Amino acid sequence: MSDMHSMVGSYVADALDDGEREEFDQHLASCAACRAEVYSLREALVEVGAFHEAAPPPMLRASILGAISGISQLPAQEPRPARSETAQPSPAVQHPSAVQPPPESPAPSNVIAPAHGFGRPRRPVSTWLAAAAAVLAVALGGVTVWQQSELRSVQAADAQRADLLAAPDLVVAPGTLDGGRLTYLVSKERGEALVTSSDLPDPGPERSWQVWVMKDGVPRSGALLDSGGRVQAWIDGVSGGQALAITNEPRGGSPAPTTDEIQAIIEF
Amino acid sequence: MTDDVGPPARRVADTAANEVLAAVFARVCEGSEEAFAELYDITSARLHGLILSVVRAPDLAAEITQEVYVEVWRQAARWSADKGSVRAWMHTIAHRRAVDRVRSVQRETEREVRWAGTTRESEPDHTWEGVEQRLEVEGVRAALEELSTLQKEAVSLAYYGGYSHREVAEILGLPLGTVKTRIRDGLLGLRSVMGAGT
Repeated sequence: MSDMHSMVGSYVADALDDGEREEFDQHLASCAACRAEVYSLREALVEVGAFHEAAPPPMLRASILGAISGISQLPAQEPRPARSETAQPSPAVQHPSAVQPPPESPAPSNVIAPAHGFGRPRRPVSTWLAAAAAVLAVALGGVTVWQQSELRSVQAADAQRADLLAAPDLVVAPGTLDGGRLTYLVSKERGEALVTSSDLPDPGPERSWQVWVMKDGVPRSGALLDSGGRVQAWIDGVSGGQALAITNEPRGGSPAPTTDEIQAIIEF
Repeated sequence: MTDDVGPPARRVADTAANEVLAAVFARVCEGSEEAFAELYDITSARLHGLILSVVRAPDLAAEITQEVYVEVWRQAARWSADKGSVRAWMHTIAHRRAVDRVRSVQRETEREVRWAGTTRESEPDHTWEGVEQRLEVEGVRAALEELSTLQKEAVSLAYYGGYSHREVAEILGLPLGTVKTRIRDGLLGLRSVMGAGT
């Protein structure tokens, strides 16, 4: 429907009349390309908005806060028109699959490092970092819609996380581990990192995923990821480190990596 | 990391700020009025600025800003990622409301004007000038410079002027199809200038 597609700009600019808007809303329900474009254009306009910020009159704050305290919030479940794709979980717990990432944005980057040497503790860190840097360049460009929704669900919970999320030097990067998606949140200033996943694959019988903090070429055990599904692992002592890596280790973890195969890596 | 930290670093900083906002918003969804005050503090300058850009009258802008925040409070739990980021969702609500208001005011004015036996012949120019002047002053011009004059005109009239694309076509004396294309290309141009969505 190329004619419909040509209305994307007018739709985003609120330049359609009511009939056209309804028509386009219906079109959007079935056109992922238009949805992605609408999404990205709106985000861009938010950025443009930074150029014409204007503080509202000071008394407006009290007026608004006064107004809302007498108004109850609507429940999360919104009655929706029957559209196959709108079966969504409650917004409080966003599921990645509910989001349509713009097709023109890069796919979630695969941070599977090739099996470069690891496990031989004397191996120079430069190999690592070269691989990690290449991976990171891709990773940071690919902070996707999925990731944001992942983060939203991640951060709904507690203050420690909020604190990490507020770190001025926070690095957020996506990754994958054996086909499952990970999100790394790292703050060297806070000295901590959080690795999260909502669909971590099982590491295999009698195996564990183990996170290592790379410090000057020497891996130090950071954390074990619980096997499978939704996980969050805190890692301390990342301040002096340069990278996080994940390997598949015997159940319960190892004091030092027992394998060459780095399953995932992130430099920070 | 070494030298090519430019865009990624900016992206990370943006992401961090967005995540702070998302954390605050999650508490708003749970009914925290305190969090709503934080949300207001983080978002109000940009939101109000947008509304003011469209409606231009400060009193009216403040009134609409209040309506929008009340709406955001009521609807918070219904936000979902498929509606865009929290900010984009809020801006969408705000922009639509501002445009609706401008149009209803305009309809009233038109009635009065017709009654007085005059036309609004001169209004497009006036509006266009006003929009452009405001953009010059407020810095969007730098971003808009990358766009062609024709695209700028179309985006400004539609997005900031609150004109429907049909009205823009009339004002500029162009076929509707051309105007649709210009608005869209203009917004796509803005998107690429802002480095978003690509």
